[in-house]
Amino acid sequence: MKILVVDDYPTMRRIVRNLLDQIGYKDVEEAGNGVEALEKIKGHRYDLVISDWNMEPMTGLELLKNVRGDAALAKTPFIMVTAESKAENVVAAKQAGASQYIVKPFTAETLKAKIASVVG
Amino acid sequence: MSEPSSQSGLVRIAGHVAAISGELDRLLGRNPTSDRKAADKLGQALDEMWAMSQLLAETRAEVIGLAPPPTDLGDVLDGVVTETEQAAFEILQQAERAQAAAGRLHDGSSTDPKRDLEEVNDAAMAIVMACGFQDITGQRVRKVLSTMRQVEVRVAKLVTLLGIRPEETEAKQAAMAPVGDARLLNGPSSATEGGLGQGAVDDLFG
Repeated sequence: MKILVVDDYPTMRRIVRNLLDQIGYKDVEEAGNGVEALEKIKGHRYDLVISDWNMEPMTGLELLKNVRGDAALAKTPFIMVTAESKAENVVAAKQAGASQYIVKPFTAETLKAKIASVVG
Repeated sequence: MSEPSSQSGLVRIAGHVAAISGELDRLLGRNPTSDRKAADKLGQALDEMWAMSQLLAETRAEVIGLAPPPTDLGDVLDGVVTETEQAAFEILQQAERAQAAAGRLHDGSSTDPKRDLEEVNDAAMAIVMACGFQDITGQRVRKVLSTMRQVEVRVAKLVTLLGIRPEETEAKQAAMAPVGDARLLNGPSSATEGGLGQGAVDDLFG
């Protein structure tokens, strides 16, 4: 399974990559913001996108809307992993089509459970 | 001579200016009466000017207190970001080193088990040492907090001095508030700020 991890902090990308490796997912690529991620998603097929919200120049929410708005990409599973933990954020992400929502800081068990619920 | 009070500073200044203007008009011959009366009026005008000067001096003193401190607070916080990032990088690197050695020991691929055990121990020690960043960053953050609290006090005094009403600041803040998706960029929120835990998020997400 090919996974794209999107976060503006290299440390966070490395943490998620490490957790994914421990869970058993080795085919992982990274992007530092929404724009970079969208370019990659349009160029390759990913089985799962795990994205932060608060990034520039394109936020995770904007990336999600772009993915859902493109017929060729719309069905890509998309997990939002973010420190944005207010109800309005969760509702906005759900309405935009997020497959799952993980609040930072999170555990390996949470990540594993959410991935399982999205990709089976 | 009036002292600064809860009375609006701007209203006070406007009052002083109007009084001075009126007295000067009279003194400049619009309605001259006697030398003694004129001297009284001049004295009143000087009092008004003195009061206004005092108010401006007090305002200036508060603004001077708000001037940037010798140490740039932004640089201090940038230092915290850099130090925490370096520490996190070091901790991750050492954890991955330990994981690799543990993995070799676990799956039986280790060619030197004793060396791999030492590797795990060395990595653990390096992680412990890297956690020392908290002492330095803690001191930096406390320094910034101390300055921020001083600035808060001075801003509050300045607001009172200038007679700025809460509804004025609320209106200004409302006009500057982000709109659209930008209003959702709240950053980390504690439970008291409305932040939800994973369980509540799951309930909401359905």
